[in-house]
Amino acid sequence: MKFQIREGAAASLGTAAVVARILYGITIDLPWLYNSGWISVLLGGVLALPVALAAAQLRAASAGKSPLSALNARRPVLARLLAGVLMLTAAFDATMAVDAIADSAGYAALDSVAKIYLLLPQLALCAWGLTLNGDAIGDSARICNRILLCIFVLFMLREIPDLCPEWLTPILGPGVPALLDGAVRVAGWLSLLAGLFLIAEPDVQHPANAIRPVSVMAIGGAIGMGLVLLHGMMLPALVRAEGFSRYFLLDTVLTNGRTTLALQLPKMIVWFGSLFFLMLSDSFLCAAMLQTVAPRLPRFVCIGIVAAGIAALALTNISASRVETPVGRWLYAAQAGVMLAAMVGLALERKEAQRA
Amino acid sequence: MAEQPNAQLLRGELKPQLEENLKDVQKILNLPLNKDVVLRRYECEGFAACAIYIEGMADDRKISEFILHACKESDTGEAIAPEQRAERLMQSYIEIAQCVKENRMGELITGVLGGMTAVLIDGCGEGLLLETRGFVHRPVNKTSNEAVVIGSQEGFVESLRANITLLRRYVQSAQLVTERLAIGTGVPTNVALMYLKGVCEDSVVNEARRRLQCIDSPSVQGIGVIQQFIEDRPRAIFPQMLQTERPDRAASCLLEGQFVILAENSPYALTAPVTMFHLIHASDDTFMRWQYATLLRIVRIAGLAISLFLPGLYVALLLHHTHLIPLTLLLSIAETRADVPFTVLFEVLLMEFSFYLINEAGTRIPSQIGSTVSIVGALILGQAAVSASIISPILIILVALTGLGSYAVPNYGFGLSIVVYRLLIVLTGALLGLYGLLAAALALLMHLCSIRSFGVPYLAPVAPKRPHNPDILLRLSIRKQNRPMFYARRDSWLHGKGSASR
Repeated sequence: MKFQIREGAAASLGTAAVVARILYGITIDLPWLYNSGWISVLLGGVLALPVALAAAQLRAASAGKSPLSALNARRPVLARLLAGVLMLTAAFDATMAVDAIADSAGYAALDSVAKIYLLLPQLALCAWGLTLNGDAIGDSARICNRILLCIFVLFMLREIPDLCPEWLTPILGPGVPALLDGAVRVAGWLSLLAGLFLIAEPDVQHPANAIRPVSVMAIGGAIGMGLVLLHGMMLPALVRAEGFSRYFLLDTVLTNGRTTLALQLPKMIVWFGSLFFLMLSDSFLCAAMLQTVAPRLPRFVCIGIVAAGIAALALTNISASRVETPVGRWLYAAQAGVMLAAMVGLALERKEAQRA
Repeated sequence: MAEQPNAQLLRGELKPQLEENLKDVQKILNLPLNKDVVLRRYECEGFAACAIYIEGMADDRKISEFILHACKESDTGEAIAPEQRAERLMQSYIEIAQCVKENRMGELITGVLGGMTAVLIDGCGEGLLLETRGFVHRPVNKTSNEAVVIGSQEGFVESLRANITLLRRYVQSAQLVTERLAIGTGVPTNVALMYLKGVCEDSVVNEARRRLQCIDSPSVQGIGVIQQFIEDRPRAIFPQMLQTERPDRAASCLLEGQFVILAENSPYALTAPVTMFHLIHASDDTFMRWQYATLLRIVRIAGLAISLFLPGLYVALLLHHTHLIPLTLLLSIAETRADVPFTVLFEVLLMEFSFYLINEAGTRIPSQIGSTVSIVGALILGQAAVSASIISPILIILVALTGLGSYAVPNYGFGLSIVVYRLLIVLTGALLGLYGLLAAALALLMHLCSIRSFGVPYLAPVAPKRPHNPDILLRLSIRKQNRPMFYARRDSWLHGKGSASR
């Protein structure tokens, strides 16, 4: 049985995953952006626009099927190559997500628990989600997006009197190179949606749920930017952002020292909820791409490989080594490269069709 | 597998000789050992006949007045050809409304066992099967498990004919189809599959029929057993079909494009396809003004959420995240728990177990000593346990809220599945705190999203999104409820332009 996901489900899942990735990435992975991370998100959205347009073109050209299936039918070698690249990027990002959740769980209460035990529930959740397939994950993302939004709105209403917009200035505090670097990373995170666009199956019976890559990416980026803005208005800039541990950074995000203790509970619910969807989205994408690369692998073997592989990578403490910093720059290049190659393939096909 | 005794005879057809037929019947029905079966011989127009029925199942009065007496009164001494005797009796003599000719022994015996009367005629290879059912059954009364404030007070009973009639009274349409099936390979049970033709999707009806016909159990004794055989995922904890004892609820399901299954000796109807929201909605939501219905629905959904998450959240916060509890509340909890020797987890599990033990005992206890349960529950397990510092008072409140929340769910099966998942959430909350609780909640949500009921997603029309009336979480004005349900036929004649309210 194939890993598959409907368009509507893919849109919901992708939005949840990208928003979580942007918020986590800007606040935890790129603390040196201080309170100007929202500029990087804005620029990153602009950079990711060509990826969304390419995805829209590919979807339009593969009527009735997912773009990757259509490509696989016509050019299997190219499809497997692209799937391989997307699989690796998804696996990397899934490892970041799994690490983030484990660190958050350790921060929240379980700091004396060995990492393997913090990873096991995620492994189980990942395997469970993959077994149920993409539609179940995407539909649950659709529901959670609404619930988490309501929870978020409730605690933001409490926070509004304490927001300080002046903490967003000076807006170019970290410097232009840092902001541009952040923009490239954000573009890489937004481009993660490319994979979901490529494998989402059109919902023929209910075409109202058709995926629109540009709008999905725009919505994800806009929400991410909004959250980063709000975070910036809640916390004065950390002057020395380098050298702080992830636990310290998590503490600033989840408590910022000023939140009423009671508000930390809804914040944690939103935090964990969105990170879970990031993990599920990446691992589903990884599994789907693995199945494209190696179609003869049974589905349960794919699930085992993905879950165990991501956990094994996470156990190498990859996030603590800050490898995300150099690798993250290339995430956008990899994703954009994949879309470019797919567009080239499409152009070649059209040329051949014209000749014929 | 061994064949039913006398299976060969049951597969055979009637012979022209009455005596030979009667010998076969006596063998099949274990006469003279079986004292319930009555063989009433009589004569009509010079030929012998025999009425076969089961005492208590058939109405004696109908048999004596409309068969025996009618045949005797109409006796004109006319000679009738042997092969025409059955037809002649049916047309001119017998005064029973429903009468069919039948030459298959199996069908005749099945009819007799169901309360009909078989008339075998000498010289004729055909018999008559007459509708003479008159067994005693419970009269239509108030529902015991689905009480409503506003709405019909009738409930289904154990007679299939009475239940079909109840539904036909609510849905008086020529398109209401009642298909009859006999389920059970050894001892068949009569089942009716009802649907509105042109409203219910043909594929859904065909699938329901197929699943019913594929039941290969020797006997199926109730609607609950049928549900377990035909639902999409029998191992899932949540029910994927709705059992209701209310004819108005079943009628509403028919009008929305669902099918209804009724079974002999079951005072419940089974409907599908259903979504989780069908199991949360109560019958009288539609009969009330939308403002009240919306309010009560919000209360019900809040109760459901409290029932599912409150104990797990309590355990997770107390064991792992005490800093997230407001200080005054934390001090209050700490004070009340100061003398309790057990951990929070053990307290919660103990109270949950006690609550459901009282619940189960209350269901099974004879009514004469029913009041004992409330005394035991309230005084001994509640007050005495707190006085002895075995549990904290705050936990009593928590468990009471949890129990009330689960009872607010109208569907009994759904309420029980919430209990099961609540325990899972309590355990994961105890082990891993908020992280574990949220992971378990997400796993549950994904499971719900993966369930289908005859092809319809369990959480539709919310996820996946489907066009629907504003009647899912909130019930808005009845004037806005004019779309066909997403699982009904798109070209449903019932929800066409002409039926839209102004």
